[in-house]
Amino acid sequence: MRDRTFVLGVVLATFFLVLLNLPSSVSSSLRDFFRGGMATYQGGVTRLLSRVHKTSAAVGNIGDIIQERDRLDKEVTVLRTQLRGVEGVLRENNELRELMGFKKRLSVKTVACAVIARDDGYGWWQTMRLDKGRDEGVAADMPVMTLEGLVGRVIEVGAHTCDVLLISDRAFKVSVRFEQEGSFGILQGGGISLRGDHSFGVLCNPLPSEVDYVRKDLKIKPGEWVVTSGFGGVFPAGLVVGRVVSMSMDETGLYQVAEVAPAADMARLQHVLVVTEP
Amino acid sequence: MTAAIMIFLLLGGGLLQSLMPASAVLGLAKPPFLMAVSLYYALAHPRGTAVLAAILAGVIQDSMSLLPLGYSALCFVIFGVILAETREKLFGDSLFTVAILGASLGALTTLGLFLMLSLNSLADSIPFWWVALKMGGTALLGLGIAPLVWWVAATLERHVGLTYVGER
Repeated sequence: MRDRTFVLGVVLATFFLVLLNLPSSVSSSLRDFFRGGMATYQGGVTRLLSRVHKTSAAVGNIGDIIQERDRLDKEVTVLRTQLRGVEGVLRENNELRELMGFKKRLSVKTVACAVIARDDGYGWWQTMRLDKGRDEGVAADMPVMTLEGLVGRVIEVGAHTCDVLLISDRAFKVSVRFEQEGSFGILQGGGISLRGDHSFGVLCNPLPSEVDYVRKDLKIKPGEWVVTSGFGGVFPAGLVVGRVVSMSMDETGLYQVAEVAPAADMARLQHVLVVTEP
Repeated sequence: MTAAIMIFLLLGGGLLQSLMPASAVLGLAKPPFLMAVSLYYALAHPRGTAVLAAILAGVIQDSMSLLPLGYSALCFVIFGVILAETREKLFGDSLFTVAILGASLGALTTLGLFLMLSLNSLADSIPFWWVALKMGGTALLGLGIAPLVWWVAATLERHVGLTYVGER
């Protein structure tokens, strides 16, 4: 009996020694196997829950929805009329830009992805899982954004899924620039609030991110835009990160600390863009 | 048949664990379905089966999450072996015992994972108060999930003619 226990102990120790030191290619293949199998169900249930949530909200507010539809009808008519005018202005603007030798506005190449899971599976980090991976051109460290602003960066990639570390996680750091003042700083995620109406789900109630070591003589006002600086090579310059909520002095009294609210609505993320070519 | 039921419980548990929402108030603790499956096999099956279930549950949990591969498996196996060795001396066969073990193991597994992450500098951004909250959250969820998984697993096995250790 004692011999069998000893043999089992040795076998287990060897097994874990190998498992904990597997080459990344082998361990990622193993992860792919399970994640790929589960991704279909994760996506299906996430879509189902979203539809149930929307339907229940719609049933509860049917009167408001009818009013909203009428208002949108009118707005569409007004916008169509305005668009006709804008198209002409746009054409003229492009012609003038070409004439003056201006380069076209820098554009980034993106892949549109749906959110299929809203946490890392055990709740250690604030992440989300997307339905696109290596085979669709997604790679580690690529920035993830919505049209409103930066959401996070890709940290793990499978064949058809990827995991994104969110801007609100304390482990997230990015070099930023205050748009008006032009000064730089390192923004760090603020974590999530334990209070609030929506306590379920990782993407709810993010606390403002913090930018440390801001020079104390700078007069940065609440509402100022914060964008990526482009330093560090991971994020292209100029991606909107958020807006300054408040400024305060740090404990030493030598620097200011800026609290920045993310521009992207983290609680409602359903589709995002992965920047594949900055 | 034991293998088929084990695979069903592990995959179902993994899927449920990844799909259930996490609450910030509980430190974003996830319902520990896979730990509960591992606990069932540690208390109700021979040691070899218990170790196999613990390894598979751990590998599935690590694969579905961002934890390095092997961390959860190591925790589950250590606790599984200790339970398998001591179950007849220390633990009675009741759902109350399972609930208490589910809560204790939930908290200990969370602490074990945090220590392993810290040793490899992967938990630098995670404050300890958050870990304590998460331990409490996992314990609370384990208290409810472990007896539920035990009941489902035992019922399934009884339906296919298997008897678990407590019934022998």
